[in-house]
Amino acid sequence: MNLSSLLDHLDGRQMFLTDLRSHKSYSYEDLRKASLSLARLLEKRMIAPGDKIVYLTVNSAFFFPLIFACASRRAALIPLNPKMHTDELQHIVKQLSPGVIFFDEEWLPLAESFENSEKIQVNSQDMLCLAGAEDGSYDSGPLAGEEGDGKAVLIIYTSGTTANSKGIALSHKNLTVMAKAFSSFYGFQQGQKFLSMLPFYHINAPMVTGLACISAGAHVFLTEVFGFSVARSIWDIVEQHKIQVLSITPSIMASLSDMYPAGASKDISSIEYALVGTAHLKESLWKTFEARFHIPCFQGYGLTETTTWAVMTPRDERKRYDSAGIPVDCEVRIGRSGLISAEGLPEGSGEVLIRGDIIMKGYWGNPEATKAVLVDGWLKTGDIGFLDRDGQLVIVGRIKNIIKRKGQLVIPEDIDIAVGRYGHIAESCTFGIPDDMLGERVVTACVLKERTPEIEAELYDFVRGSVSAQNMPDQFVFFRCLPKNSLGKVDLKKLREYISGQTARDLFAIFDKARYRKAKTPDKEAILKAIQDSLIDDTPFCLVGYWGVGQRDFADEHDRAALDHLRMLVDEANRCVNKPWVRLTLILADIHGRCNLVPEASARSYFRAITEECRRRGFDNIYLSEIWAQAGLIFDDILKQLEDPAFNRLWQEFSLKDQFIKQAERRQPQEDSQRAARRYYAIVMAEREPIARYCAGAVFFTHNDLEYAGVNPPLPTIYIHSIKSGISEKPWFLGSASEKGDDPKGGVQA
Amino acid sequence: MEKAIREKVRELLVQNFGSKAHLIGKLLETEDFIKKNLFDSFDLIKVIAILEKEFAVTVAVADLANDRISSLEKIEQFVISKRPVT
Repeated sequence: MNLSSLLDHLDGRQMFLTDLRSHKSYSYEDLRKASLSLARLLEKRMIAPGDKIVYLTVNSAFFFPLIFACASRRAALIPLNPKMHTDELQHIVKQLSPGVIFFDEEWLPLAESFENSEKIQVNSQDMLCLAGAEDGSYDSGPLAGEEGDGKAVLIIYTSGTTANSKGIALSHKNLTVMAKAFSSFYGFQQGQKFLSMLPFYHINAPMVTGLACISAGAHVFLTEVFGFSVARSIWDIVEQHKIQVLSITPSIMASLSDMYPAGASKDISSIEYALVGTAHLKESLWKTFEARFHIPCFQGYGLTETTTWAVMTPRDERKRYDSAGIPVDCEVRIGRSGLISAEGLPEGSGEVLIRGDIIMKGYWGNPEATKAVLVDGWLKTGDIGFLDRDGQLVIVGRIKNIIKRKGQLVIPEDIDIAVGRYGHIAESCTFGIPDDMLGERVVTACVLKERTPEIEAELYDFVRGSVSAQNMPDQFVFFRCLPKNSLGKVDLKKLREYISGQTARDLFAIFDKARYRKAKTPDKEAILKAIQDSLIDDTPFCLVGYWGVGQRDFADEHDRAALDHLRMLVDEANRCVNKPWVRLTLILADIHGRCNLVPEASARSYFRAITEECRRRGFDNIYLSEIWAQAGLIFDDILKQLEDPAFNRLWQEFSLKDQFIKQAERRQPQEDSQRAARRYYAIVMAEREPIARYCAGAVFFTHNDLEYAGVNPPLPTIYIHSIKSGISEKPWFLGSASEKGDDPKGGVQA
Repeated sequence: MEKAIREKVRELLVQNFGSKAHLIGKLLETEDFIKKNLFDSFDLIKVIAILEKEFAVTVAVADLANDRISSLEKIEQFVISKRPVT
């Protein structure tokens, strides 16, 4: 089997490729002739079987005749991303020692930096640019292709840093089998129009909109690589050329969804479907895109090591949004060994193992790495999944700490080495977090010896200077210390859950339990942020609330029950993060007692008892009068406002005026209830902002209803029951002053 | 007015690029965020989609090529120049 046999039996008159940049079109006969011509050029350069040919390109029509020429000579083609970090490129090229380096014109200075290889400049937009260049003739005749079978014909490099880049060697058989499998599984047809807009240094574009199309005789429309320019013109291109199949990625789906919220701006009814190259296509993005653009999408699962997709979503009723699809021309089984822990994973989960003709030959020049992943012909993918009853593969996680960002492998250790060279770093840990657009985003959690905004910015610049753009972390998160497991190693699971927001959501869910929740808070996002900040900064989560005073001068069972209820909440949250995390502070509302005419000695005695109850439960407390003093608020001055016409206007417009008056009637029957209510209103409005300033960063808890939000301190607030589920009376208003247990109806004021 | 646009853009970027918020928050007004590798080509599409939606302007391919969307200051000048006169 030789890859060049794909060109046999094709109708040479059919269109093969239209380059939308140069507006040049080529037939399959042109492709065959250009391939022959290039094969002859390589022959004249003494390129022998096993030799390496490097091509520095982003995407190019010239790629196709070049790969067939290499196949014909049984040499291997290595397309390299010219935007890779220079050190990395130099390292790879030195290792390969290529016979010839082809390069697109814009990469001339880069190409010149490589020594010891012949360099040939090509026009990426002209497939025939070198055809006949050597002897003036435009070659004809058969494309000689000796048995290639297991020989490497295409080597795709995964990005890493200098020492870790791996060249995945794909053989004639790998590419031929995959091209035919792809084309027949999705029913590619002669003349069917495909849009190609992905880079050629990954396996997706050379296979899906390259060899698979060629095996069917389809027509490829090549644009520049997807970016703003293509995003702007894509629907024009589709409409003008009646494109039938798109080959895209989740990032492209997200970008198009961003740019075209109202759907496509042109007639794109020619599109039959889109193929989405990804490890896992998020169901929400998948459905949104399909609904917005009316384009059915099909995803597949595979690695470069499986020559693209080993598992594909079928184009029939078996299509599902929760699975990667069914194995195509390969065997998939679930392995048990190598799994660190299957805890929490669905039953039947294990490492996804794949065997068949599509499995790579190996990592070029790296037998140890090959041996580590290829065992008895089975490729250990490092992904965790299970096969369901219908034989569909569901991917649920990853074993190795390897990040797949936009389909490219990122090795976290390499980034940590680069980060570690920065002098102010005490510790760092890089890992991936699932991301709708990127597949995974690269996150570096670090601990700085000293933390200033300048050092943070400098770290960013420092790392940017040492790793290639595609390896640059998307996010740096600065921790005071990284969570560790019992062996003292960084607890990656916990780190991931902290940063992805999962832990914050779990903690919020505790506050939101029916047992505690009185009303749904409108401040969920702010509370999640406060939780997240405290987890990352490793600071306590501050929960504050008023504790008022009624007629009693001692603490009774109502107080103790309510404090125990709060303690239960705090304990649940602490258990969730396995450390004393919540710091609960009661604001002892002595000022409110004074406002409600509670005798000072009685209030003092009551708060002393509450302070003791707090101490037993590990709660903090502060007198409201201290916050007032710090803010410079003076009780008598606030009361003077009652005579102020502006205050009276506010009072008249106050939505809870009637409730306040009714409460005052109950609390202070001996006094003019209007006056008492107005006084209380003046007090709480005056202290709202000072309390929020004093408790900045904290979350406020209250037993009041949601409608009282306007009189609470302007802090993110949770609305919780006081004594147990369904009971929200203020404990300090319950119970009898003479310990007889005569419960009056609870009030709302603190 | 100028200050307002710059700050509005910064605020929108912080809201929409959560994981890079701390970097955007510190970005100097004249700092080139493309050269700084803050945004890749996909991020730029998102930036443009945000600008078009919020400021009712249309960004052409040439605007990007001519470096008109590469810093907070340049975006502001761009928005002012393209904004429909009201």
